[in-house]
Amino acid sequence: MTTKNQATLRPHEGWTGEVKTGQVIRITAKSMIDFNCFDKDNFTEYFDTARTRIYNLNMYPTVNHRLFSKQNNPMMKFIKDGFSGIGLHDLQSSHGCPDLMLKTLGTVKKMTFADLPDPMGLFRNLKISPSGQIKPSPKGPLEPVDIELEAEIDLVCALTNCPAAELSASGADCIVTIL
Amino acid sequence: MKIIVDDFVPANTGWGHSMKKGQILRIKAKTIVDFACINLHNLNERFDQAKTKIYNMKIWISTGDQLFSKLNNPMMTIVEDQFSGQGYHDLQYGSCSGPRYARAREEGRLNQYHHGDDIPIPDHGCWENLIDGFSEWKIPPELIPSPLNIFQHVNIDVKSGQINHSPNRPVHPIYVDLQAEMDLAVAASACPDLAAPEFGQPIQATIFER
Repeated sequence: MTTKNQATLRPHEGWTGEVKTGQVIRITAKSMIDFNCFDKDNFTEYFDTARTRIYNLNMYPTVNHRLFSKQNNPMMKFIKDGFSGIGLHDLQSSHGCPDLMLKTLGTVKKMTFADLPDPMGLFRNLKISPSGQIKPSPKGPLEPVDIELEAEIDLVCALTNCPAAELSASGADCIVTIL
Repeated sequence: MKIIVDDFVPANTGWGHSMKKGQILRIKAKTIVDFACINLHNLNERFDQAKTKIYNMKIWISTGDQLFSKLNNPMMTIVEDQFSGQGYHDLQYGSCSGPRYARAREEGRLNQYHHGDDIPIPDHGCWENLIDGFSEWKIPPELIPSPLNIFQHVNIDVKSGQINHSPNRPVHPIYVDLQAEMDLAVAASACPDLAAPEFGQPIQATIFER
């Protein structure tokens, strides 16, 4: 794979950019990352946590799952998960840093909090008990690991590098690479 | 009890109405009902699955729990839940829809509904029904909230995260009462419910004051 673009995010920084069909976004991190994506030409076609859970019939996104849109179309394939076996990514929560995501997306599309779709919470590691109780669990990877997602349509992707120490690993740099 | 409205909702159709703070909506059914609500005075304030789960710190809600908006405000309180002890209401599923059923057939996944591969599929589902239910308020399709799926018991393995359709439904029609915490537009869909033993059935929607 050829590197097309790379950026390093400090804690509480965001990134947005285009990822074309067939390209891969690699997120190398150990802190909590909120991730969203949109059809590049139609922002009403957005990544949707509920559609994604039910297409994959699983609450925890990982390798071989697909990210689906609100309008029931495939958007991305989850092709590498360096967090597998360490912890779980989250599809239950809202944004940890909504203001940062709105500011990040604002360079491409002005949105309000009311219209901001819920994210995939990478490394969030939310624990759910058999009775359905939700409990945050501070367990990120000790060292940065790779997450790779392949675009199935032309996308605008956006992510935020959460500084929060209480819900995940302490804030650390995140590297975004487009391949 | 003062009845404000008492409507029969045929199977696989949508229903919508306004209701005032303090009024109670009774949803009576024996199959899935997709339900959502929107602030009557600010249509940008909509029911939100994620906020509801995180404020209640649970993935299944019942009596005493509240439905929350994306803007972090309580919208409704579940004041009675006759399904409690028999099954759970769901906050994982988005609404079913014509395109989703078509994709399930195309991918050979209709057997996941427990009636085999050769079942007829509807050309529309709860998403389209909720669009109809909210039609008075002209909510764009992409902004129809992912719903509270009443009587949609889902088997979830919390360790692996695996979700399975379940045919567990009320044997006879029972009800859930939801009290409005603000003035609302509410909508419900009588789901085609392909996993139910007898598929989707009509529902009854009643708004009343005590």
